Amino acid sequence: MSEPALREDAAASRVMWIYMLTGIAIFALMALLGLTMRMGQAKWIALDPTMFYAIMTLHGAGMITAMALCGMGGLWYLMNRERALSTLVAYWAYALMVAGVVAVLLSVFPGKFGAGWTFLYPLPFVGAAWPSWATGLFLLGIALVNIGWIVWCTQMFGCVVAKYGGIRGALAWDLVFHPKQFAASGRHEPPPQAFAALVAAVDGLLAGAAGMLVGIALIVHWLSPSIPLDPLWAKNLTYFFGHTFANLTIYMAIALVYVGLPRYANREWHTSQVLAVAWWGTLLFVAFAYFHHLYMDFVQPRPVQYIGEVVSYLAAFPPAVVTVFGGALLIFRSQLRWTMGSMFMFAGMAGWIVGGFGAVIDATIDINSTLHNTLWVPAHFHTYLLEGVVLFVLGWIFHQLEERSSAQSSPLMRWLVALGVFGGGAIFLLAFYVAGADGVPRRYATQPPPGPEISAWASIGIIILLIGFLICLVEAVRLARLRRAVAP
Amino acid sequence: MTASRRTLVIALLAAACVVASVVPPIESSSIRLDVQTHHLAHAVIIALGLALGLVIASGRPVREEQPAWLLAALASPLLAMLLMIPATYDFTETHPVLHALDHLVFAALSLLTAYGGEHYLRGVGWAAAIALELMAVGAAFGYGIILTR
Repeated sequence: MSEPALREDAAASRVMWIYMLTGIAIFALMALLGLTMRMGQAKWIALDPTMFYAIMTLHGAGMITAMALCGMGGLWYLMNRERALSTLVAYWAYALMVAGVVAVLLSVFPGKFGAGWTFLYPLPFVGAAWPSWATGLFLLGIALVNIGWIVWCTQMFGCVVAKYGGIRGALAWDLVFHPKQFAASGRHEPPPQAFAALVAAVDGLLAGAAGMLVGIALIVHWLSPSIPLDPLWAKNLTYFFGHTFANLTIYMAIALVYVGLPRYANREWHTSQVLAVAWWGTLLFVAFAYFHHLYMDFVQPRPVQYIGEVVSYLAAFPPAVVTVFGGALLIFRSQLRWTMGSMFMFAGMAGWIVGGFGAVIDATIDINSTLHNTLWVPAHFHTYLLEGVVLFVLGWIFHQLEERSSAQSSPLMRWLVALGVFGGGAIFLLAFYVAGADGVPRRYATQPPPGPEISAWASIGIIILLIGFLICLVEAVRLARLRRAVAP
Repeated sequence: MTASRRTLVIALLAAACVVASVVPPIESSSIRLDVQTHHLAHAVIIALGLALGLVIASGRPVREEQPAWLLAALASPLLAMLLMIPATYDFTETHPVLHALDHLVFAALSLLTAYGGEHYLRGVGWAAAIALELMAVGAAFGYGIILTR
């Protein structure tokens, strides 16, 4: 690499690490808050309900933002290798999101805003146990996070459109419909991670616009309460924004696996027609899947409910059939190098499937009428965030550390981490599923039986999980120091 | 598009923007629109402003990121949506000149959204334009009103 190229790579790498480490730091803080909530529900500690709901609000908003920051940093780094991106724009997006996180933090500590991260209208304004300024600060914080997200999505959109010759090129349209002419033209298809960038950018911009609209409406309502908002309209926009934003965290993180896992398998994860079409499906399905959050809203137009169910089912196909199955084929008989990085990436795909399966079950209208608002809902999204997105991110971080230090973790270390992260994680998640199936409601500071008993098991699971993450951190620091020692 | 045709389209769109912004408030100052119709009227002006911005920007496609223009492309839609506060509608409808000016600001912000996006990087103006238009139309279905079902 030439001197300027090295400098550019170092600058891009810095952007990635700043995003990822900030995301991991927020994740760690939110995990501790999650443990506090579960211990409160288990009655191990006395947690005032007002404080519980405030913590729950912060935990939800913070976790999604943490995961998004990790995915954004990673995908930005990968796309920067395809086409040089402005680091200035990346830092703007980062600064806006961090400012939003600080505002949300202040709205909860000391503001005690506790309407949930979904801030469903009119909940933030009616019978609030917190001061009005906390509502305003929370809404402002979410708006700042959203603006940062929009900045990032805009940069990604510009990148893929400019690099691959417009939307048509970015979609690999000609590869799918005119393969011979495409091959003869000498053009190259976008790499798999570019599809993740395109989907995150397009669906992210649409969701960001919806979030901005409802965000401005809520802020205006906060300033001038006489301005009415249609609650169904607000709920549709809020979930379109929130569900899509949360869902895209995993599609951003999978890009890291597309690039990282092949290096362990010594094979290439190339773009095929099937992969391109699968991502077209994802582009469409992610945008409409949020309807499954409104099954209980009787005023929601009926056709939309059916669309919600069908699209939620269809959304499972591209990741399960193409990405995860493709990943399994990639490593099949490849003599995969098992390291911390590959272990996390592989396990993350399993977590994605399990969490996705839980989501599809809950998206079935008949089943949803029973499971709606039970702990089954956090069960599925904790599975694909904690044992999916987080593992993809950790896999990528270890991949980077292993590559730069030319060192690996010992098998004993891998076993210790696996026992903690997967074992503790399994206990923690199973508690959610069992409680949900038993009808224990979600978002309750004080749960009816058997909630407290199950929450105790969940707390034990989180403690084991956190020990696993702590060992992981120690190992990451060891590898990072090794890198410094090896580097000239 | 040839240069002369582009100039003609720009002139026509600019004229349409001004007419759509100025004529209705002044000519029908006695008519009170409901909030939904008023939002939709703004969406039409915004659509014209966006189209104008895209046509103006089409003459000089930008292939390298110009970060400063991204600020314009993102701040303008925010300001446009903030201006669509339904509580101001009663007041502006009784002040035709102010109302017309308000509309012209909408048109200008929309133009800046599309133009700024295209000057940040080719293709981004279209994305910003679609997002702003969706927000403007979307506002008509619940912002400042409760729809009866």
